[in-house]
Amino acid sequence: MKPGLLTFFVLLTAVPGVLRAQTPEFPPITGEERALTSVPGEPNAPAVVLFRKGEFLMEGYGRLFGSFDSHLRAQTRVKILTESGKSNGEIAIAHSDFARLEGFSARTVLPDGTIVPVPARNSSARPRGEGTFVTAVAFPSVQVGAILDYQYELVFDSPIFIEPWYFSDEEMPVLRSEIVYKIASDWRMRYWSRTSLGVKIEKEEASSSKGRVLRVWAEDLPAIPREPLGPPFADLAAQVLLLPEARISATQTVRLLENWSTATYLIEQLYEPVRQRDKGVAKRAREIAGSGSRLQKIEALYRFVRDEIATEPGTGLSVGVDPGGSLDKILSGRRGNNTEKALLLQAMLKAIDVDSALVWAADRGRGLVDPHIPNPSWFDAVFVLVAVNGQRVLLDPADPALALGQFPAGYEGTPALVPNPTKPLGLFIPTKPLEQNLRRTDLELTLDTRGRLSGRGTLLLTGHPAREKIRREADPARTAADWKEWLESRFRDFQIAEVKAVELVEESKVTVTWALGQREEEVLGDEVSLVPSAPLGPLTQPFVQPAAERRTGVVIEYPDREETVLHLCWPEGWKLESRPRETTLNAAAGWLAVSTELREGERTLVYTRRRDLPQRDFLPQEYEAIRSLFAGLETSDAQKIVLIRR
Amino acid sequence: MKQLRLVSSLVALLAAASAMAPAPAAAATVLERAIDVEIRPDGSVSERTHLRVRLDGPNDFAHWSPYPVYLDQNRTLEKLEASATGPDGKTLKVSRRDLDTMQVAGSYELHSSRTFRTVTFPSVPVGSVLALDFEVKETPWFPGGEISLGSRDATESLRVTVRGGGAGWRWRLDGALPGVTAQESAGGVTVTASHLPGLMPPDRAPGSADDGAVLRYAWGDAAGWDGVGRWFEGLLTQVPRNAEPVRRKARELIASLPGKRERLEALLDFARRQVRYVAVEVGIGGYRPTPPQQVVDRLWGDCKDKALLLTDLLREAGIEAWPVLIRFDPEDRVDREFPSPFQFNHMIVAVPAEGLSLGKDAPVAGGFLFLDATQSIGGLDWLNPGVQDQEALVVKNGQGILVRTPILNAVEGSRLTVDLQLAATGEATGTVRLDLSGEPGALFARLHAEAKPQDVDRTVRQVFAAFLPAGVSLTGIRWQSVEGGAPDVRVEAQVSLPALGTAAEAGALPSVPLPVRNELPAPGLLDGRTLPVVVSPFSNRTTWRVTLPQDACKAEGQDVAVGNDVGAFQQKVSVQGKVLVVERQAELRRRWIEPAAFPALKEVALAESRTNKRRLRLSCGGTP
Repeated sequence: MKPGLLTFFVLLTAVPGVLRAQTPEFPPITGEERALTSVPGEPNAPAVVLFRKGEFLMEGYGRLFGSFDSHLRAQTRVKILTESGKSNGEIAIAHSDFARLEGFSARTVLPDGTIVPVPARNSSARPRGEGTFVTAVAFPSVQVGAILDYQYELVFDSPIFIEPWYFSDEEMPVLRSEIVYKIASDWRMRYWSRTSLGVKIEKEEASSSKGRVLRVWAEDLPAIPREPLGPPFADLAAQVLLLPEARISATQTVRLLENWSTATYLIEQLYEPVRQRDKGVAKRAREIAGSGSRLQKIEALYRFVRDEIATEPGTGLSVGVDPGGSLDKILSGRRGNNTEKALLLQAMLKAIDVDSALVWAADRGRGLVDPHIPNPSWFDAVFVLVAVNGQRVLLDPADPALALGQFPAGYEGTPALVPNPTKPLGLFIPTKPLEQNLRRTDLELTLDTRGRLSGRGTLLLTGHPAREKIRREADPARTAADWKEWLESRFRDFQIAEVKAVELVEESKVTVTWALGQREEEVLGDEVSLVPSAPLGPLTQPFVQPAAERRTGVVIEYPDREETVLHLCWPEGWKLESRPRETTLNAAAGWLAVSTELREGERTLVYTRRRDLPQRDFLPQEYEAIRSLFAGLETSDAQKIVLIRR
Repeated sequence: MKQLRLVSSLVALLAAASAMAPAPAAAATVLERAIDVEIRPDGSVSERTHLRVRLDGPNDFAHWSPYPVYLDQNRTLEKLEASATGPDGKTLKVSRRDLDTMQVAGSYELHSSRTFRTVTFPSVPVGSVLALDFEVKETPWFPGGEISLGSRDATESLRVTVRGGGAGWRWRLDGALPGVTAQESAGGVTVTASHLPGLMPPDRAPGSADDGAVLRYAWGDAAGWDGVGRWFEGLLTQVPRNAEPVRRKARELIASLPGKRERLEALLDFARRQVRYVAVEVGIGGYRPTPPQQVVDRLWGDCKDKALLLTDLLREAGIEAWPVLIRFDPEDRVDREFPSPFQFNHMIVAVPAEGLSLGKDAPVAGGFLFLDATQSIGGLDWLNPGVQDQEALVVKNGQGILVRTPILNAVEGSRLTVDLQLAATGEATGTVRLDLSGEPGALFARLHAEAKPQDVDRTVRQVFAAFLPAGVSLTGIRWQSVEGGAPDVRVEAQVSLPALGTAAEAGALPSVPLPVRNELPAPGLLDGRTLPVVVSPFSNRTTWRVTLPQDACKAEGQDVAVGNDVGAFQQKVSVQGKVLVVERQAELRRRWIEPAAFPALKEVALAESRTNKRRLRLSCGGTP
């Protein structure tokens, strides 16, 4: 191990900050800021960020030379534009033992120029456990036209700051946002940015004796649109990142996040000491694995780590680990975070001579990954890759509802990395075919001569829909009770009985069966109407906006298939009055087919409904296609089957 | 995020939503739960808890670990020991590093002094037993306490002892939990039970049904609601009042306003709209309001800050006003048989109703008009449903007067009016108007104030989708809020339906499948039920006017009218010339429906359900 590398991540945690920056004055309020009452292009904006400035002083820059700390100074000015904008008068700042909050100050500037400082008693740091805190602040005298100023500093025990600076805001438009990176000249940095919604990011760079200064800014940023099933904030927000590639001195070059090889090497330095402290792990692994086939042994170890080692939330870098930890502690304490569990599983597999590799994976819900930028913070989970019968199988030991080779839907189709320092390997997490993510119901209903419906139903879930339901309840009775409650809400007129739910974790499969009978008091006697798509339908259109107004694409959870089959039969003396129209939609966004088959002689109707969604991400220009698909389904689902007495 | 929450609240309120399943849950077995409460002569309380929990399922560990021990400025942890024993009998102690501290604030709070000392057990497999013994010392703000007896987990053995109550000792078991017995002793009580089942309350049960039963106890001389009122008034005496800046503000606000009602409205408007709601609950500050002068200076405060400020502003304006302790809880209510302040979570204001020229739907009870200063929308005539039908303790002249706030369902709901021209081809065009009043109106008004026009437009479309036939196309959407009493919003649009109905044969009248909504609780909700049904009272009306493509049609025998104390359902179908008019009205008049009233609820719910299942029958000429 090269101590120099580890230093950046770990050793500095022991060294307290040695210098404190002075709290700067707030910039004077300009006439333009005073006069502003609305934001062009943002009608009804309740408040606006006039500016948001950041200054990142990296360890070694200027007067902080000799300190092991880095400082992020943040300064924000918000103007309240409407009565409802007053709700922006509270802020919350997250900080921790690692990123310490210092020098907070704030004020309200009233429309007449009166300055009302935020008293210290208006702010308070609240411990949230695991050395994390949130400081919440209420501004005084907030009114329409008031300007809220606040500033603070976060002090890091490390030069490495690999989180992006977001120019955009989730709720308010931003007139100007900028970040100034101040970097000592011995650092080599890599610039990265992302933007959308027509926002232009600009930058300028200068050098001085203290080092380099990079100023990056963007202006007139709209509030990020939050549309149903829209992309995550990080996809749309204008942002910038400065990644430390290397530190170059006269005697050595310390390579950091220069490429995936050096980036993974850094993290490996955190893993290695944990792996080395593995007393008893191999022995325990062999005990658990038993004497079955290679696959059985792998399954046994996977199940053990998945089920018997509790998954704790991690803090900081998701793929990182506390190098002071150990595998034997994780094993004996029976708990660890996602990464620690993956390391333990890998060590246990090694003990039974199964080669494996770690895989860093990213959750689509946190934003798109740019694999060209070697930033470990892209990733949210660590999986373990093994070969089974010549096939690559990914093991996620964090979620007790996951079968071998399954992983949460959000990780499918995303770039991933095998963090091998000598040969980092990029790959994509495979996407499960839509037919494996199945929701299917089979319903058999019979109308008796009195006009009462009764029958049986089966719901089959596989893949992700099954995973979402598996092990949500502690015992079969409660699981059945939950399903019964759901079925009762879907079949309001019916009594639901004999509910049985079978969960097969290792097959990612849930089967629910039930009996149903129309309540006597709901029987009309001469007429029956039935929503044939129940219990999965009827669908309500989630995409009500016309395409012209939609600004963002669509991100659904996973590709899937939904199928419904209803067999309905009725006695002599009744006739079919109406049924859903045949519908077939083969749109770019998916496929829909609804059909009915009437067997007159048998007095039977078979209704089938199938909807396929083949992809997760849809571009804005594909919005109308997915909207049309769901509109077709909604229209079809609204059509009832009606039987009347002759 | 705020806007998204608003949108989802509004849509959920108006549309029949369905979700697949709740969050993961667990059901371990509580082998032993013993709580020993010792009331000491100095008024402090020692609370010792002894807990043994067996993990029966894979979710149980995550449910019980970390285990939170509730602390606060007046509650300190004296002692704590914890361990986990595996099925093999091996015991693992919880070490100091497995203890952490976190402060929690509710979603409505900026900051709170409520703290949890969390105990993280060593991870142990199913079949293990978690053991926890801790002692908390409390100096209660009010001489009393309460302990929930049941839980979602089955309990093998329960023993709760409270002792040392001394003078003024009183207690009560509130709720139903079969198998629980109580033995009174001098200044104390012991509650025991064995083999208590895990609780799974049905849908729309009171919130307290999750606990099955609650042991409430108190001691000292603050007995009766009067005593609670005196206790609270005692707290208020610690708050500086009548400061000149507050009085000046009152005078400034009512200058040139001669009438009592106008003055009241102006001061209420200030407390509601100029003082923003920010809750900071620290120690006794959870009960004792901030001095009104401070609230006027900083222009923020929580419910009690705003209420006390309003009280003082009104008094300066010559209007009598009193603080009111109340419970904001659409799903539960105060146990009026056991006076204590712990059951309240909100503060509003009462003024004499007389002489204010109030409408018939104004929130008046016991001669008081109730005003909630945390409402940002609505006038004197509207009280948020969360504080309707609740016991309100009016703290007046050193007394506590308990009054139940009224139910004002007539203003809570929607009025949908659709005018359509139906073509022989089945195509329909026309207009739709939706009036939302009360809580739905307030939600929409807030959305209107806060959201971008395109977000409001999207929400309107979502709301209309819940009322109109599938496939409807909307244009010319517009909306307006009506200022005044209850929040009232009108939303209008042009509608077009490519195929409302289809004709069975050429020249025949197309069918008219008007959409229906089940607004009353499902009759099946009452099957085998013993717990009350708790619902939000409302009154919704729908009117469809469809101009048919042919004349001389009939629609007879389809009128329905059922009504009783609990609610009502009506349908009226008529044809005048070419115009078919279908009017429906659903109303729920009670919030808390006891089993004795279930037949009445079932009567109206069935009327709606059965009517909604029938096709609309029209006959034109000789064609049925």
